[in-house]
Amino acid sequence: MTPSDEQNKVDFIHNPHFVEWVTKPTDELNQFWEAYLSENPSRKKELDHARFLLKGLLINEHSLTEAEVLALWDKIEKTKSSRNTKVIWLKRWSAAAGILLILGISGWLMSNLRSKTDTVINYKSIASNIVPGNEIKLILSDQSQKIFSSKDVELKYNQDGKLETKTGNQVQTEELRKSMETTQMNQLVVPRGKRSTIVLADGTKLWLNSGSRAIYPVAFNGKTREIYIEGEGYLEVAHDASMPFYVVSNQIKIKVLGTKFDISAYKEDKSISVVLVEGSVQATTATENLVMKPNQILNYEKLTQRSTIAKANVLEYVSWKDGWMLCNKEQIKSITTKLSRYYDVKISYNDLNLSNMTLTGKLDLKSNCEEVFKVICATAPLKYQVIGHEIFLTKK
Amino acid sequence: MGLEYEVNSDTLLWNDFIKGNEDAFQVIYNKHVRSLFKYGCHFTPDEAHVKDCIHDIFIDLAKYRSGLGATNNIKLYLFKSLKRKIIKSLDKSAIFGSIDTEQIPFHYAISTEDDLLDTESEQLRFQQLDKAMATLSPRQKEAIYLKFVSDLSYEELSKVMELNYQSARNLVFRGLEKLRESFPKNLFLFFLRSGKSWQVTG
Repeated sequence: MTPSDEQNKVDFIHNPHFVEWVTKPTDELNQFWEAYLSENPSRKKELDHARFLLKGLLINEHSLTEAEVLALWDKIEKTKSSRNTKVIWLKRWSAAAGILLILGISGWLMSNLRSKTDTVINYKSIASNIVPGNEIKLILSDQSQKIFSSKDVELKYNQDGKLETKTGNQVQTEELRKSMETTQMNQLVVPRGKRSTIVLADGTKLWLNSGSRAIYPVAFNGKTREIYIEGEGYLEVAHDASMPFYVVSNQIKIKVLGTKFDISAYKEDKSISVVLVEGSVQATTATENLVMKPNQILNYEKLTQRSTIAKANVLEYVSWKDGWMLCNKEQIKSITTKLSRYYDVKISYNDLNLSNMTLTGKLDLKSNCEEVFKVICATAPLKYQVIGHEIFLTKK
Repeated sequence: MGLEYEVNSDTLLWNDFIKGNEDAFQVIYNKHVRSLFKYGCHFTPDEAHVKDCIHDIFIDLAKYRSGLGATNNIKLYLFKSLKRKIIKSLDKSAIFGSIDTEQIPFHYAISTEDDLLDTESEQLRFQQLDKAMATLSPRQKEAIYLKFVSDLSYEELSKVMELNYQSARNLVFRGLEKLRESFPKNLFLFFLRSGKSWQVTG
């Protein structure tokens, strides 16, 4: 073996481009290295050795599953907060004592409260207090709950602190109690099979799809507007350049100025998607910062933490808010996932090939579940059967 | 949650974390927990123990956050912390005396039963490589691991291993040399095509 041979092998394994090819081969990298080899046939052996060596070094790694990553984080959070409990309790007590005993330092108290609202809100812990049931639930800032047994509910927050609630043709107005906290957070939890709309205090309208929740302030004060969404929501954000609007979800944060868009961030889905109808949004994830244009869809893979942006027929993604579902060569698998959330039914098929079959058409979600399946089965070579709360699909 | 951090802004991320930003803390965890776990499992096969150690270093971070200094390399900081934590936990007596770094084990076996191996001849070659790996010193194994699997620079790996730059390089190069001795004299060529290997005998 000559010294130059020696050097060459070291070169390959120390070449980041080469390492990328071995660890994450893409068509592009394959082409590059195959072209390289046909130009440098004498280096085939070295390249092979380096590739093989690297492959050997990388196999047999212990890996954490995503569930383990989450479980470990929860444990860390728990240990951390149990350590903090004492401190928080002391802070609360001193604040209360301040109000009761020394009115003279209210200026100091106010500044204390203001700094409190600047801190980051732990939406996850707010959300974890409320388990979705069978009915739509509204949780007010004093933790009292309103339960709605209707299929949908329309909420409207007025700037004067009143809340209008509309179910069917009934409208109720009530004064929201003012509390010492400058930011009162409300939470709306929409179970599977139901939907809701909220008009926020700034005029922004939010449609919440089945199996979703939103956490939002009763009034926006401060430099920014921020709400939290889990599941799917469609937003028409009221324009206010001086107060940017943020939508926060697990693993993704979206900044908007005045715009219409859809976010789908279901816990159980492997990816989060954002579809932009109008305006401009900026999406921020752990690793990326992306600006979207209208008629685009952003897909964020939770596992790899990578996003892709593609052109999209936006109507397919946002028509649910008007009670339609548009499918354009959409896989049965994806259609049934959405329908099963929308109607809260279990949908199964005995033939795995079925799940990859694609459908094109328009489904009327205002009709009941069985009617929707009648329509599907009239166009596709499928049969459906209802057994209890479950729908079985089979090939005709 | 609000993840307003670019990939290479360790200094900013760290500063936010020190100032008490919980999002920053979670971003740090998410970015590094997977590679930390992989690294930790080479010191001990006890996965639960590695998880406990990772838990402890993040609790330490939260506990002492306001007193922590600046860093522009969080990964390096975490790798060093985890290594120290695991070694101390494996050898309780080391808390009082100094640790003989040469004696710290580093398990690095190359599995030959992996599903990723495409052919029998490839399996044989990995068996040879595994034999060669067994002749390396624990520190040579660790250096090669940190360089090629954890993707650290020589500068970084010398810091994790508490060596000077040249010694770190030497460990990697001599280790690689020993591994290369395992290569067969007759030639097989492998190419990667769309993630799968096919083979030409020549």
